[in-house]
Amino acid sequence: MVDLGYFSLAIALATAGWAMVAAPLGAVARNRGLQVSAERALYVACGAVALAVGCLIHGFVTDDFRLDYVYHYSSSNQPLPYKISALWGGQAGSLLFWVLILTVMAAVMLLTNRSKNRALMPWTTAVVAATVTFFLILVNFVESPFVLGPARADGVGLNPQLKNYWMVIHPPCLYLGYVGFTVPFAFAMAALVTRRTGQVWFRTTRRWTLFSWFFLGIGILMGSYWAYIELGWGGYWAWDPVENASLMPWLTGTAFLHSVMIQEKKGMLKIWNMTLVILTFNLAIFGTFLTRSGIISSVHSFATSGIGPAFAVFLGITFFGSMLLLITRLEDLRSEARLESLLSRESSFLFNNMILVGIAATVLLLTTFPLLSEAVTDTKVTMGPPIFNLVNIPWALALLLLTGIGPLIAWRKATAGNLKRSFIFPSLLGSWVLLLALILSFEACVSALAGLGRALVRLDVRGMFDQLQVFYPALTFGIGAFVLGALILEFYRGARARRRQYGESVARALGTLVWRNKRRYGGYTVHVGVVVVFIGIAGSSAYRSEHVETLDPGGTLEIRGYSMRYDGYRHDAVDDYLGSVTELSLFADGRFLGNLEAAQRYHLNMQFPELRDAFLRAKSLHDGDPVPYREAVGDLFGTVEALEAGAGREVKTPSTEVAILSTFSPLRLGRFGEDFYVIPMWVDPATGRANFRIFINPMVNFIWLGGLIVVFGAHLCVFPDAGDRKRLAAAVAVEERAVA
Amino acid sequence: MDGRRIKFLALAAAIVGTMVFLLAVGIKGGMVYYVTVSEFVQNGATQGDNFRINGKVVPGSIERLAGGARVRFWMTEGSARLYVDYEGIIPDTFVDDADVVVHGVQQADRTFKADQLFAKCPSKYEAAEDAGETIPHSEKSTGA
Repeated sequence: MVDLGYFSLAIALATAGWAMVAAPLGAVARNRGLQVSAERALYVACGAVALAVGCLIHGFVTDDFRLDYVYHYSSSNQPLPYKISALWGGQAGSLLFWVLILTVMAAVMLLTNRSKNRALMPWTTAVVAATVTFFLILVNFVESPFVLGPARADGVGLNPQLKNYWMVIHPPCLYLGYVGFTVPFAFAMAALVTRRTGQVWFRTTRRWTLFSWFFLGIGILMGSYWAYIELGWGGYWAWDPVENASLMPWLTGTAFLHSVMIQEKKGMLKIWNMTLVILTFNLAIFGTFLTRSGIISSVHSFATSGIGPAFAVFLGITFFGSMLLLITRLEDLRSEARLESLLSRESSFLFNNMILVGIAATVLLLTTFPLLSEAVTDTKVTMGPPIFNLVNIPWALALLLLTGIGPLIAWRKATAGNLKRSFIFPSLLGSWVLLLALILSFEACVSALAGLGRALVRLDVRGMFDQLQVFYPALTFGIGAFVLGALILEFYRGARARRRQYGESVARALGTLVWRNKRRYGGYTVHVGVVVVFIGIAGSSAYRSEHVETLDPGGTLEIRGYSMRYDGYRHDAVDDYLGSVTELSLFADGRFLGNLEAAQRYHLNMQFPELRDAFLRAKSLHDGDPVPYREAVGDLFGTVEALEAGAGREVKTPSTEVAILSTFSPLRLGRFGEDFYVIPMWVDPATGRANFRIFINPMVNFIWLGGLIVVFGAHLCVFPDAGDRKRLAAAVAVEERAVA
Repeated sequence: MDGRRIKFLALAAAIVGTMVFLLAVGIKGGMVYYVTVSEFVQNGATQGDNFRINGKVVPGSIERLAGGARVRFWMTEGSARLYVDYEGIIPDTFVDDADVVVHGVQQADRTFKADQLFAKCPSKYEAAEDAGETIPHSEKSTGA
């Protein structure tokens, strides 16, 4: 099986390399045979990679611990889902997984373009094949998943923090996003080479772009959710380099999704769109380079290896190569129209793009700052979350404002009449909400204004922005209301027009309206989701409370209207860990809200025979008579202590299981979306005395809810509207005439 | 270049300029020096000064204080060692030999008082191989 894996990868490399060479040759020499051969070779590569993946999974499932990779990321008692997901648990396997997704996407790309885009296809094949070849070089020569070691009895096992549903699904989602951008990029390159720089290249890849953007975004959201519920520090985003690495291509991808609309409607921004897709693809590769090379220290990073330089070379080739190609084709990318007014939809989109790309550039700079500072001054300087927030939040708010302006403002040049008609309602709504929010936080605002004045006098810009932070939540709610008002207006106008014309009922009008214009109203739905996410972020950052207290069983603590009672504790010897579980009940204003369990788990080092035996004995008594069970657990703790004293190091890996109670009840509307978040810092095994750290995170669930709304909206966007195919055909016709 | 173009470019420059300005302000105030333990010990760190130090946890040196919110341990890198006293949430990845980054301030008694602690699991395989030891422990490797 291992040999089969090795050979499959070698075959994949050979065929992908052939495809990379034959496709452009076939295009230039107008040799149809070469082109077909290249496409077939890519299909074969896909099959070979799938076979290799199958071999590796086989190794996991059959506990083949000769394989180093299986040894590191699996163990005999690891549950099957985690054995399979261990495929992407480490460097080599995740690279192989990447190639698998890429080759499958290549196959889909080839299949769906069997009878169209024939002029572009040899070049898209070449670009995709080149990317596949690069990753296959890595997997064959630098980081092979099929490296063999000695025969070993058992494996090390997956990191306990990864044995979690969200961590299983988060990497595949991210990879689908990262890898997916290869196809639009390939089409962009093909368009440049063949001088077919009209609308076809991005219209034909609209769904690829949407698909990748969607999965990258969902992957990021899932990663945040996992961090929130599993890592147990009460937060969901830390501006960690690896987090930033995934955010950057998503930001430029979002910009791209928007700016292509301008090229579609007005024939403008052609160069900008090309630049954006080049940036997005390269940022995706850069992102995975950052994550894997370890050049920037992060809690996520893989172990370093020879992979950094290889990526740097590939990135250099793709980035400079594509930019060079772009520069030589500038003539073909002339705009068909000009920007007429600053108050127009075109400029709103343009500003939206500038802010998105600006934030991406800022994040890039701050993330790579340690490298840059070391290169320049020989000392490494890092940038922490406060700086990211300082710079990005104001612009994020500006972006949110544009989300409301864009859909309403007129094309070309907004007249006073248009502005009045469209913006009065949303502006009023937004202003009222802003005012309300300011009034509700009156004291904080007043003292912030005083502080602002003082900082202004001192010319302390940093101090000024620190004081301004007080206003961010109110601004978010106000701007959010503005955007929602704008969206309501759009839905209302559309429905009203249908009712006037067809006499439909409100419900039917809305339904048909959305269905006939899925792209537009799907987009609006996504915007609604974005507003909700912003509200969630604002609320949970600005209004969070924290409380630390030590309780004995039977004790109670009070915080912000909640009352938490520590009912009791127990020990669970299950699966592969020993847990000290605290049983809690939560009350608010006298009413019972629910039961919670927060635990400190200890994953024991099973390589020590005495520990392994003591654990298995306790585990076997778990469901029986409590008395011998308690004794066995006591013995287990004693064994741990003795071993640690003797070995001089810890023999257990702790993991914290936080307890969260979310409020969704309409009876507690003021606390809707709020989380009561319990971190068991420590539980005394003998007495049960526990130290709890409690966070109250208001509105945090709006983030996940907003995410769901975005998911729904994106699904609407993906489906084509009736006129789409005709319009695409028309665009193709125009382009063919232009090239002929 | 007509009036519209100029206006647009001016606005664009304003946007970019404000971002750059904010960045400059932020960077000036937020610089945290990132060093390794040996660099830190060597350059005779002054008291005060915000530092982030990277090193590995010395096996067996972890002293978890009751309450679960405070831990003292030795950090090492190269041949240098540093004694750290940290108060706060202790990440689950904080184990013997973990790769850690601490942020804080040097005290008068040469203890490093940390207010931030980041830890990632060691990728033990390479290190163990170099040291020539077999691996009897249940080491958890870094995941995706």
